[in-house]
Amino acid sequence: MKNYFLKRTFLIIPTLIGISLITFFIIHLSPGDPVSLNQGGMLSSKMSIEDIERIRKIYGLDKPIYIQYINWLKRIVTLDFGNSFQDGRPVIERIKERLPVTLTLNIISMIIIYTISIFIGLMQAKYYNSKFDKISSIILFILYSLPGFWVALLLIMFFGVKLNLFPIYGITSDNFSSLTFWEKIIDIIKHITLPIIVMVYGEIAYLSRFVRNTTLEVLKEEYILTARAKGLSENKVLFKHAFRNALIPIVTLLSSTLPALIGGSVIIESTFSLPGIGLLYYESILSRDYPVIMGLSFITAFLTLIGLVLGDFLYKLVDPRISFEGKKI
Amino acid sequence: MRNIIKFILKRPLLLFSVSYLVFLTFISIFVPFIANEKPIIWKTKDGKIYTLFSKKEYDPKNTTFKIIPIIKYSPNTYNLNEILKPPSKKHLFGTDDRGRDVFTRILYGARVSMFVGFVAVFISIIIGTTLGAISGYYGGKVDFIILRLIEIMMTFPTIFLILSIIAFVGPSILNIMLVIGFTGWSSIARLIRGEVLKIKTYEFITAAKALGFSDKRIIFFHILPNTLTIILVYSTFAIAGAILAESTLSFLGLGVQPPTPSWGAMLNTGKNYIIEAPWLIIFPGLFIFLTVTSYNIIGDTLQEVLNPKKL
Repeated sequence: MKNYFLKRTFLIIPTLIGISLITFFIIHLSPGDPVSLNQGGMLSSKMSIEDIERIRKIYGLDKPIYIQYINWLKRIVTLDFGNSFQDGRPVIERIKERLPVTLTLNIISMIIIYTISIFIGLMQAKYYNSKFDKISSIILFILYSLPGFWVALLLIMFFGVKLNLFPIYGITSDNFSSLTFWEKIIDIIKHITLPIIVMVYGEIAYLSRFVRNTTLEVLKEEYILTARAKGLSENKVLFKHAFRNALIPIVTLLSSTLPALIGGSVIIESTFSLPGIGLLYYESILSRDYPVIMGLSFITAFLTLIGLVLGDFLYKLVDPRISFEGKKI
Repeated sequence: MRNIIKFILKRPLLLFSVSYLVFLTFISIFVPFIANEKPIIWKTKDGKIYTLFSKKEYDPKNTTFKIIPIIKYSPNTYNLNEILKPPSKKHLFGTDDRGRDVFTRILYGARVSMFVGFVAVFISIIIGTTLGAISGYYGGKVDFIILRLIEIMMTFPTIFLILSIIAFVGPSILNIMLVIGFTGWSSIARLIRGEVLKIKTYEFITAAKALGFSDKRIIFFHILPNTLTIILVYSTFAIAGAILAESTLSFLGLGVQPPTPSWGAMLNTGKNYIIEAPWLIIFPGLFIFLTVTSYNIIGDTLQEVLNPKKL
C-alpha cells in the first residue's frame, strides 16, 4: 500500500520532465520569437539587428535550445520560474495576482455544481424511469452539448445588452473603489453571475448524470435489498445506504478537478474579459511570453498529477475494500 | 437492416440526429452545387458549355441556357450594399459585416466542421489503437513507457496544449486537424490497452500463437477486430469533441482563418456586432450545437446497445 503511493509520487517526476520538455520544444522551435515578433510583442519593430541580438542575449535566447532547457530545469528545481518577457516581473508574481479571480470563480462554481447535481442525480435515481427522470435527462443531455462560448455570447446578448441586467465584461465596475463594502460585494456578484452560469451548466449536466447512474448501480446491490427488507423507509435507503456508497466515485472525481481549479478557462475569461489565469495564459501565448507559458503549464501539470495520486488515496480512504496490491501503475 | 431502421424510428431524438447528420454530410459534399453564384451549367451565345468548375466568368447577358443552384450566393463574395441585413426571404439567416449570405456560409462551414472532425478523429484512432494494442499486448517495459506517454498526454490541459501549438505553428485547417488528432489519442489508447489485456488471455489467441502467427498478424487481425465496437462508440463522441474543439479555436481567432467559412470563426465575427446583428451569433452557434448533440446522441445510443466499457 505504502509502496504503491511512494512509487506513484515518485513517478510524477519523469512525467513532469516529459511534459516540460514537450512544451519547451514546441514553443522554442516554432517560428517567431518574443524579440523579433512585432505584433503584441514586448518591443517595437523599430530595432536594429544589433539591438535584437543584444536583447536575445539578455534573455539567453542566443544559446542552443538544449542548453536553454537545462538552464530552465536548473532554475525550476529552486522553484524559480524566471521573469516574464512582457514586463520583467517574476512569473510567480504575475500568476499570484491573477489567482484570486480564477479561484473565486472556480470555488463558487464547484459548490454550485456539486450541490445541484447531487440533488438532481439523487432525485432522478429515486424516481427512476418516471416522467421527471426522462424529461430531465433529455434536458441535461442537451445542456451537456451546448457549446460554452455560444451560451456565453447568448447570455451577453440577452441579459447583458438587451435587458441590461448584468455587466458584460471585467470583474469590477469603474467606480469600484468609491463603493461601500456591501456595494462592492454586490458589484462583484453582478459581474461573475454570467460567467458562473456558463461555467456550471455543462458540468451540472455531466455530474448529475454520473450521480444518477452510480446511485442506480448501488441500488441494485444486495445490502439495499436487506435494508428494504428490514423495513427502512425509501428515503432512508436512498440517502443513508445508497448515496453514501455512490459518493465513492464522486469523491475521486473531485480530485481530478484540482487542476481546473487554478487552470481557469481561456474561453470564459477571454469572452468576459476576466483577468484570471486563463486570460493570462492566452495573452502569454499571443505575445510569446515563454517563461509565463512554461510556468503555467508546469504548475497545472503538477497539480493534475498530484490530483491523480490524491484521487487514488481518497478512493482508498473512503472505501477500505479497495486494494492496490499488484495493480499496474 | 430493417431492424436498425425500426429501432431508429421508435426513438424521435435518435431519428432527428441521424437524419440531421445524413443531411449535413450530403450538404458538405455537394454544397458547391447547392449554393453558388455561378450556374451549375450554362451555355454561351457562341454555343460553348461551361460548368461551375470552369474558370470562365459567368455573364448573364451572354447566356442562352443555364441551370442555377437553389441558393444563388457564394460564401466569399462581398456585397457592400447588403451589409448586416436581418433575416428575410432573400437572405434566410441575414447577411454579415461584408454583406455575405450567412446561410450560404453556414452550409459551407459544415464542410470544414465535418472534415476536421473526421480527419482529426481518424488520426487519434490510428495513434491510439496502435499504441494501446502494443502496450497491452507486449506489457513490460514497452507498456511502462507507453503508459507514461499516455499519462503525459492526459495531464496536459488539452485546450492549453492545442492553443499553444496552434499559436506557434500558425493556424490553418491542416494544422488544426493534426493538432486535435495528435492531442486526442490518449483516452482511446487506454481503452484499447485495457481491452487487449483482456482479449489476449482468450483461447483463440493462444491458438493463433500455437499456429505460429507473427505478433503483428495476431494484433491486427485477431485482437483489434474484436475492439471495433469500442472504437465505434469512441469515435462518435470524439467527432463531437473535435468539432467543438475546432469551433472553439476558430472562435478564439486561432482556428480556421477568414475568409474560409467556419462556424466558430463566424461567431468570432459575430461577437463584434452583438447589438446590431444577433443573427450572426444565433445561427452559427445553433448549427454547432445541433451537430455536437447529434453525434453525442448517436454515441450514447450505440453505447447503450453495444454496451462496451463506459467511456
